[in-house]
Amino acid sequence: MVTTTTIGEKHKESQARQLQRPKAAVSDSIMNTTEKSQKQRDILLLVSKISNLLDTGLDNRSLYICIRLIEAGVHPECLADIIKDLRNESSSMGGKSVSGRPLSVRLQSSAMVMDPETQFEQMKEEAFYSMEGLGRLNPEKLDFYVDYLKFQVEHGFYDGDANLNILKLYQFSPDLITRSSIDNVHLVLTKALMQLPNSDYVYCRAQLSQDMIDDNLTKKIDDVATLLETCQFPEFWNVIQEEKIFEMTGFVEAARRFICHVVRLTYKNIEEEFLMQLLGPMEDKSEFMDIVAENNWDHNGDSVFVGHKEEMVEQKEIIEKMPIEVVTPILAIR
Amino acid sequence: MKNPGKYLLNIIAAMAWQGNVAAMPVQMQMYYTGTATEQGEVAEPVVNFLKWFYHFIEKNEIYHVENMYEDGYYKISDFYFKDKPWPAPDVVQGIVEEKDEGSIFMILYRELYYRHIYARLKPTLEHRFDSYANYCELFSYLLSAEEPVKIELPNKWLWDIIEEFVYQFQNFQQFKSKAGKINEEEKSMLRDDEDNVWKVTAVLNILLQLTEKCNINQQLIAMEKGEPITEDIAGEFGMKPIYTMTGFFSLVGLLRLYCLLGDYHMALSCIEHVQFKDKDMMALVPACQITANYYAGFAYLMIRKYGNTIQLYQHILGYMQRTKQFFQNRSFQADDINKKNEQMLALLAIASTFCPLRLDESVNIQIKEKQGDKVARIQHGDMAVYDDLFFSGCPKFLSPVVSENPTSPFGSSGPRGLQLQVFKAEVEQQRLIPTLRSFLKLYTSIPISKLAKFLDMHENEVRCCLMAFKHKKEVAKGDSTEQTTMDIDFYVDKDMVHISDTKIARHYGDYYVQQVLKLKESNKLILGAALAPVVATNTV
Repeated sequence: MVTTTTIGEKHKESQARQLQRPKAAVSDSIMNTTEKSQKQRDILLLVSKISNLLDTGLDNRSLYICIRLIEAGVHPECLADIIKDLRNESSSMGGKSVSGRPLSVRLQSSAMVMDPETQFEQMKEEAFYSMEGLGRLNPEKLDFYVDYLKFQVEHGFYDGDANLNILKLYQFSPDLITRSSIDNVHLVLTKALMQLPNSDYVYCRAQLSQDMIDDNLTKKIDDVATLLETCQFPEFWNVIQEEKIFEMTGFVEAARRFICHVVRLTYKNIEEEFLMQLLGPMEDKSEFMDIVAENNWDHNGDSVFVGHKEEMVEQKEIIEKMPIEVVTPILAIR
Repeated sequence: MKNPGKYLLNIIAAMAWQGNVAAMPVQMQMYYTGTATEQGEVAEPVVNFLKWFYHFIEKNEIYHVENMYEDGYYKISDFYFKDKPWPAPDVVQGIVEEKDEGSIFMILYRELYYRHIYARLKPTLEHRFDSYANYCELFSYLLSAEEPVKIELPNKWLWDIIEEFVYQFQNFQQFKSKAGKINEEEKSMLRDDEDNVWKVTAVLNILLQLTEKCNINQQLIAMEKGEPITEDIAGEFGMKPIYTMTGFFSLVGLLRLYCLLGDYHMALSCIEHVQFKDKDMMALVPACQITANYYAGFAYLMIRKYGNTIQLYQHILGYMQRTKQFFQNRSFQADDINKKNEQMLALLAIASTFCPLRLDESVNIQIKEKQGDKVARIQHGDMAVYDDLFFSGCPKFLSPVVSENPTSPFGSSGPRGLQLQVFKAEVEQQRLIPTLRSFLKLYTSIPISKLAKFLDMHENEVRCCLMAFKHKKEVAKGDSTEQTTMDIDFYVDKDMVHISDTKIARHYGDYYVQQVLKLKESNKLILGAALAPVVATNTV
């Protein structure tokens, strides 16, 4: 995110000057927007201003889709014709479009032949716009967020902010909750769990209602969360066999990522056998060796070298430091 | 404002400027002593106060408005309206001879009028509705103006408006959730309510609009970078202090509201660009600073970043202790501030058991005083104490939707119970860590097999436990910049645990500073005594 990086740098500079300065920025994965999309937004903003001046009657979403189509090589004039056609069609239907969906959605469906990456970017953009300000709580967008969530589940993407918003909509408008809502809750929770060691799971957990918590599968997910948080990995691999939801795309990889993170924190050398136990069932040894290589660890006989840790436990003395800036105002000297 | 004398002088000066010198002293005397003759129903000093207040607000003389608001309003409230409301708005309209009941003075007066009712009396449902309508009027006065409004108001008042707005919303939700205590007439009134009075989305909407009107986040980012605030950044409205300050205070209001709703993600993203140091906007209104620190620290506690909580609370508690004198003069605030102080101490006690950081000596003493027995019980493994501490420290959580139907989505325990569950999950996950820590403290290296024997666990369980310790420690650190952790550190090399050996030098700094200040104080005294005769001889 462009803003946080600059803040981060500034932060380092000023650290020397200010002893105490809590950092309020939340740098969790849930907040991430890329520099690229920031730029895109700026461009889109400009285009939308022009569009408003010309009175084209296109909203931001439609504009965004048009831009993407043109970037993908669609001829602009053809596109303009299509939009006109779509408009004529909808006006001949007495103001209502055939499917009852706005222009932008219909345009989108005509552009569906996109790779998942691009499609994710696009949905992310849409989610971003619809969550600005109070739009966040617009119940009409719930279906979109749910579609978006299912897309993420299927293709292994993640947008925590939008997923959390599903829970929020359930919280604010309980009449939106249907029989299938609980399934969405499970998906949101499992997705958030895959973000450990980030706090996404806690954010989501704090938004659930009592009914949702009492649900059996929710309890199961909560148990799995506890096993991960308390690092009982051997047990974790057993438990996740029991439920289908943990077969989700990328779940095993995410769990291994977290496990490697914890091992990196804790170990200098770790026994090979124990590490294999932690990383869960694997097809063959080469999968294990891949993980070791991915983390830049060294395989030595029956153990794996993770990293030097000696300085962590060096004998240290904490001496109080009092920078001169703190003392000068007290002593009233310059 | 501490002494009434200074206030008197201000008024006298203002009156002199008005050419009203002759009328002044008697009036002022009455204003302070309260030996006034009754004029109709409203005591004359009150009438005078209102007239001057009206005059200064109309003339937009912020300096006098500030004095009258921060001093006169509370003094008169204490003296004349201790247990009754201020004069009704239409009476006041007559007194100040204002024709338009929708004028800004009348809106502001009604704001004070209802706030007084909330603070000293029991508001009826009608009061609640009317007060909400008045807030809507006030905010739309600011928000739907075509160009920035001319009026200026003291920062303290702007903060109080936002704070009170959120408070009254909170109060309304609580009122609604106590279905048993609402009588039939009120129930039908609630049902007939078509304007969605005090609806959570409406309240959020107003606060969001206030933050957007002045581009407060863009302004804060620019400030962080040290850039000047130009109209390009702030916009036409953002260049006016009244908009900027309401925007800033609304951010804090949103922080609070989101915390009450259990949405810590939104709560923390509200304050992403807010600086918590003693400078800048945060320091302008101490009450705002305390509220912001309390809720931000609480949100960090809930997402388990104890390092951040500790850093914020340590700082603000130190600040509150230094400025105690200042607050104690204002009885109406002292209660609130003392309560926040105790809440923060309870939360700080929790945070520092999960993440033992070195605390300031003065804060440490306060914790020992207030929560010492509980901290001791935690150390003996009494888990129930966490509930106690959590309840005494947490805010009054809200549910966004309150239905009349008793089977609310929150079950019997309500939103507070739900948040407690979230917190307890963490307590449960941390359960083994204190024991593990106390064993590790005794060694510089220990084989896992030996540790397993001590803990009466399987060796692999101990390995997992060590990893959990590391993981929790890493999360707890949060983004705090404070590095002086008192906690042990360790690493595992195959089946051997190596533990750090940390010595902490004694803290002399605080002691030293105190002595310097004492010396200065005595030096001043001596100098004063020495100079006095010299001055005297000079005048002779």
